[in-house]
Formats: sequence, structure tokens, C-alpha cells
Amino acid sequence: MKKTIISLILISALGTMVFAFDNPLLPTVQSTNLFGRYSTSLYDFSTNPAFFKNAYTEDFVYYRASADGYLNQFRRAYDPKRQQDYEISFISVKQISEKVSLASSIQYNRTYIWDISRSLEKNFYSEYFSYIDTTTGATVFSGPQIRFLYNYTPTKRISLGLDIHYGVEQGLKDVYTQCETIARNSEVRGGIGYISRDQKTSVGISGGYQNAQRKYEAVKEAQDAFVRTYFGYFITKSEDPRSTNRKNDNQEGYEIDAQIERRDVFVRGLNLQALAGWGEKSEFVSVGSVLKPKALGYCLRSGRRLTGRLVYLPPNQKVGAHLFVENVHFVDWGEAEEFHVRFMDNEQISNQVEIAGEIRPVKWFSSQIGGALERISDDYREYNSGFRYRKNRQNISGFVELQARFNPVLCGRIRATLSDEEPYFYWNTDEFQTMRIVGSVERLFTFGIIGFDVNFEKLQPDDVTDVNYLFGIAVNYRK
Amino acid sequence: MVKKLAVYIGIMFAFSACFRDAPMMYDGTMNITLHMVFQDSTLGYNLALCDVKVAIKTGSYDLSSFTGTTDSTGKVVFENIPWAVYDVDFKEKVKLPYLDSAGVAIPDSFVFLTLVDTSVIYSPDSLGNVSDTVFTISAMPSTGLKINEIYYTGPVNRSNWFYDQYVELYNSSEEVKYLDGMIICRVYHMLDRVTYAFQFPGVPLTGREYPVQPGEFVVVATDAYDHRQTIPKSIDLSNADWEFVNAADAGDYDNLLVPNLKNIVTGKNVDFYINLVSNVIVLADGSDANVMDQLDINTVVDCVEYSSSSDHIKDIDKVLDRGWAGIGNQRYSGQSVERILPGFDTNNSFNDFVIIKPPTPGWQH
Repeated sequence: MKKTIISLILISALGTMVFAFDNPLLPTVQSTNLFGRYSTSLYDFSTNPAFFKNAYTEDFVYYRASADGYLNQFRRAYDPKRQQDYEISFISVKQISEKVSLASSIQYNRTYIWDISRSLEKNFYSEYFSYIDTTTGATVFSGPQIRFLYNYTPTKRISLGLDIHYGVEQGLKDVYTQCETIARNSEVRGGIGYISRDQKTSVGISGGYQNAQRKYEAVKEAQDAFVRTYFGYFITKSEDPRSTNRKNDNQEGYEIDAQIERRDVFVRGLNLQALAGWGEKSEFVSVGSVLKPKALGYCLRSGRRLTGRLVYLPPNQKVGAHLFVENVHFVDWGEAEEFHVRFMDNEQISNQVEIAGEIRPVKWFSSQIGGALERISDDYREYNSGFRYRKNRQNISGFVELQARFNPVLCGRIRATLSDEEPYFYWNTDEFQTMRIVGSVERLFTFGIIGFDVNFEKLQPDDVTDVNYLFGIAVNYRK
Repeated sequence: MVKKLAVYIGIMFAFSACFRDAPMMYDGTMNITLHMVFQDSTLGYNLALCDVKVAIKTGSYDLSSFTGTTDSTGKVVFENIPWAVYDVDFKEKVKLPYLDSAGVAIPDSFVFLTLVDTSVIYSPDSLGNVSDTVFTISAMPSTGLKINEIYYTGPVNRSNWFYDQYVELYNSSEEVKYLDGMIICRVYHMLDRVTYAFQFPGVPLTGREYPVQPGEFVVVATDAYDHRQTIPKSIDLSNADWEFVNAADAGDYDNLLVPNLKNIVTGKNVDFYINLVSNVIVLADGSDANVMDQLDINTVVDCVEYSSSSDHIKDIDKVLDRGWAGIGNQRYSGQSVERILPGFDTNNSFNDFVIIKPPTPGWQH
């Protein structure tokens, strides 16, 4: 059981960390996934590699293969009609000695984006300088990602950690302009941690540097490659027709975090964790000929995050509780390079609170119930088009999770989540209702544990009959 | 090991990014002030254009034109527009007082003239402001022998095939013009950088053997051949009036039924092929046949510069052509550039030409 728990922790941790592409400036804490008994470690909360060894103390290997299919009946102008994601991954954790831990992972992703109109981006709406052509087609993205984590504890109080991510990805559109995308992304995180003599207080500082390059190459077929680039979401620029048109996107950023944890605050089993993070990330885009691209735009994102978590999980008790609060503040600005003017500003402040309770009436069964409230304040402004979006949005969600151990070798879990979201302006709808059901079954064999996961999601926009669906399956093995 | 890690982390932060400061100027704050004027020493006009609509358009972004109306002083202001390079797009039929030969307005007598602007482009200064006087001219086309159409992109094909190029001439005057000894040049950059020059037979200026009647089109083909036999989406030039032929090019097709223009530049051994994106085509009277030491500007009869890119650097003096034809035209698109009306020439190919498809050798679109 302990191995099972450790594996779940690692899956959760790596699932949120190994973004070899589109690294978020500040890694998102998946609070709902961290509610269970297995996810109270400071490493999972902070991703500071210096705390890795404290969270994962045993060796194991883990294999996983998954497939997800999206059917987007309701979609934005540049969203695909269908999407399929396939992933295989391998994770290994090894305790080299009492002082050294190593973790490594290899992951390969393949994504099919079907019937996407014009967009040459993997995710058009996450870009301020999006690249489009004139056709509707399908694009396939694929590539490997690797990760290496080294954790060293020179003394009983001090620990050091280094975490390196690297990934490449290639994409190809199946119709004119047959745009080829090549992406490379790397991230290095280092951290230092201190643990008090009574093992109840931990303090850490970590920092990360990320660097990414993407190149898009649209080529002619019967006529010149005819592409456009967006400045924001409303103004486009028609690029000069030529046989090959390339967009270069260079990003780099850094982030600094500080973490603290105090166990058994006031009463036994009450743990407090807090995290403060700050970072900046720049993006420089040039477009044009392969040899002499013209500078198109530059944008900078600055962000900070304050996160706190209070977990009450007394040992050998039938109840538990969880409180999670977070404040995230992002500021973006973008510059049009030709005239060196600021063409957009964006400010987003998010405040989230989540509470959950757990009941374990018998040893073989537990249930959790919880809810989250998130208020988001947006102020997005484009100076070139005159567009401004100022709104306070609110997202509400609730979940129920049931876990059961049917016998010594078989266990299962099902989690249902309902949420009501007010989406960003480019969704062109006032509200979403989302229902998500995740189920998993695991069985212990003599050679290891095999698990099977299914998930289903239904997204229903307000006042629209079109509904989006997600179907996913995964199988995993660990030992 | 600890030292190594510490050094590595130190290096990591040392190389961490140093980012730019946000620009001080905001987009959408550019102002353009234009004073619209019509000056014509021949007709005797020198006045501000009041209450006329003026449009400005940009190639920097895909935006609709901005329009404004001049006040009583002929001034029009475009405020808080996106920072970009703008071109004035003015073409208006205006009512003007009729002037006698002494330049005095005759009461209750008016004349209607269609005026067009002569400006090219405006870029914002460091504060985003532009102020200028826009001189307009009568849109009555200047008459004479004109380069009326240029087909340079090649047909729609995947084989990089573009050998159906041609140049069309047009006599927009009311008198017969003669092609004797005239030269058609491809110019790389300014008149001292002539790439090719092909000459009509006959004696320049005085020859009278090859007339062009008023309103007559003359098609000069690179190869006078029915190119549809090679590329189905190409055109038939077997009935062209003239054909470029280079005797030094053994493989150059020569239609014996079509008279030839001959290469006059020593050392050039290819046919009259022109660039598929940008070039300058010059029609000269032929009195300066020694083109390689710089074509005499006084011999130029007509000149057209074309470019698919709006920010192309001018390859010819603005005295000869203030703009570019074919902005946005694409290679292998089967599109040509042709004057909006036969022989219509205001010395700004940006205004005078449009992109058409299919090409129209020997007639107007």
C-alpha cells in the first residue's frame, strides 16, 4: 500500500511538473489532487527538489500509457474540432545512498489536432503573436521529454536539489502551408532546504530558469506561403508572400520560490504549509524570411504567488480536513517591435479557496467531499484595436470522492466533480458547466501493481446546445 | 559534490534573464495631420481642398482604411490610430472655380476635376505624430506610350515555371506613336543597374516603320508561344505582337511569325525574364542605346516598379515612379498587374495599377 501511495504521489507530482512545453511561469499547485493522505509532503506542494528525498523514500519504477480524445462541438474560431492525445512514460526513482536520491523520467507524447481552422499554433489562445494561414487541416505534434532530478543531503539539516527538464517536439500540418513546427524547451530548477532538529519545521528556497525556442516554417505549394500573425486577439498583419515564411519564438524566464512547513501546529496532525513565488518570463518573436526575419513583437509576463495550505490529518482518526488558499497575480505587456510601442497590457488576479473533508468510517472505505471558489479579476487591454476587457469572474466547483479496498489486492476509486465557470472573453459565452468523472482500479500481482484509469468530461456552455466531451483511458504498471 | 552543485546553481542565476523595460509610448496614439492642396501652374490653381474625403490605409496591419473630411482650411486630422506606416488614398471629384487665362476666377463658373494624391507613405516620428502637405494632381491620365500591363508571376503550377511572361504597351495619346528603336529594360536598381535591354528594330526617334495607333495595345512576349501546351493554366501568347529574342541564347524559343526585339547588352545570354516578386521595367526611346553605363533618364518614356512587399526599398527614382504596382501579388498565382484604366498614369504605380487574374494580353480587364 505504501508503494501504491508513493506512486500516486509521484504521478501527481510529475504530472504537474513535467511540462516540457509551454512551461507555466509559476507551476500550478493542483490542490484537489493533493488532498489525500498521500499528498501532504512539502515537495509536492512546492516542487523544490531539495525536499524530494523526504517525500519519496523508496525505489520504484512506473510505466504508463494513456489516450485521451476530445470532441469539441463548441469551440472558438481557432480551436480544433477533434483532438487525440497519446502518451507513454517511464519513471524511475532510486535511492543511491542515505544521502543521495535520483529520479528520472522519459515521456513521449503524440497529439493529433483535427479540423483546425487556420491556426498554426498548438494552442492559439495562449499566444499573443499567433501564426495562421488560410487553410483548414490537421496537425500532428510528437516528441520526447526527459527529466532528471538529483537530491543530496550533505547534513541532516541541509539538503540540496537539482531538477532538469528537457523536451523537443515536432509538428506538421497535413495541408498547405504544410507548416512544420520544431520546439525545444528546457528548464533547470535548483533548491536548498533546511529541516529543524525536531523534523517539524522545514524551510526552503528554490529557483528555476527556463528557456524555450519554437520555429514555425510555412512553405509554398502552388503559390507563395500566405500567412498572418496576430498582435493580441484582434489585429493581424499579413506577412509578405514568399516561398518560405518562418516564425521564431524565443522564450526565457526565471522564478524564485520560498517555502515553509510546520507540522503539528497546536495539535498533532495539523500541518501548515506556505509558499511565496515570483518570476518573470519574456517572449521575443520574429517573422519573415528564413535568413532575415523581422522582429515582430516582444512581451513580458511577471507573476507572483502566495499559497497556503492547512491539513488536519490526525493519525488513526476517522475524520480529516483540508484548507487551501492561493493568491496569484500576473501582469503582461506586449511591444510591437516595428515602432516600439506597447500594444497590449494584461493583469490577472486570482484568489482561490478550497475546503474539503474526509471521513473514513471503516478501514476499507473512505470518502471525501469538498468545494472550491475562485474569483478572478481580469483587465486585458489592446491599444491597437481599442479593445478592453475588465471583469470579475467566479468559478465554483464541488467534488465527491470514494475510495475502497475490496480485498488485500484490489482497490478502486471514483471521483466526480461538478463546476461552474465564467470563461475568459474569447470563449464568447457567459458560463460553462463541467462534469468530470474519474475512476480507477488497481490490482496487486506478484510482479507488481497494474492499474486502469478512465475519465470522462462533459462541458456544457450556457445558452448553447453544442457540448464538448473528453474520453480518456490509461493503463499503468509499477513495481 | 556540494561545491559543484553550488557553482552550477550560481551559474544558473548568473545567466538568468535580464528583461526589457516596458515602452513608454502606447499603440493607438498616432496622429496624422494632412493639408490637402491642389496646385497646377498650367491651370493656375493653388488652393486648399475643403470638405473633401481623405482616406489613409496601412500595410503594417490588416486594417480598414481610416477616413476623414477636410475642414475649411483643407486640414484633416486622424487621431489615435494604430502606430503604422500609412499611405494616403485620395481620389475625389472636386468642384473648382473656373479660372481664366489670367488665373482669375470667373463668377458662377465651375469646373470638375478628379484629383489624386501624390504622396507615398508616412511613418510616425518618435512621438507618433505626422504632419504634411499633400499635393494632389489631376487624375486625367498623362498621355503617350505606356507600359499598361506586366505579367511576371507565372501561372499556377508546382514546377517553378514562369516562362509565359509578357509586357503590354498601350498608346493613350491621340496621335500615332512609333516603336522604332525603342528599348525595353529590366532594371535591377536605379538606371545605372540595367539587367537586360532589348530593342525594337528601326531608327530611334525618327523611324516610322512600326506605328502604334491611338488606343492600340502591343503585347511583347518573352516567348510568343501557346504556353497552355506546357502548363494548362498558362496563357496563349502565340499571337503576341512582338517577342524578346536573345541570339546568344541557343535555346531561346523564336516564333518566326512574330517580329523580334533583340538583346543589345553584350554578355547577356538569356531571354527577357523578369523577377517574380519585384523589379523595374523601363520603356525608353532608344536614343541612349548604351544602357550599361547608366540609362539616360531623359530617354525614359515610361517606367513601372512592381513589388509584392509594401516595405520594399525603392529601386527607381520617384521622379519615374513614386510607388509600386502589385503589392501582395504572389509568385505562381497567374496574376498580372494592369493599369486601372488603359494608359492611366499618375506616376504612382501603387494608385495606377491593380492586380488582375487572369492576365489580359492585348485587351483591358
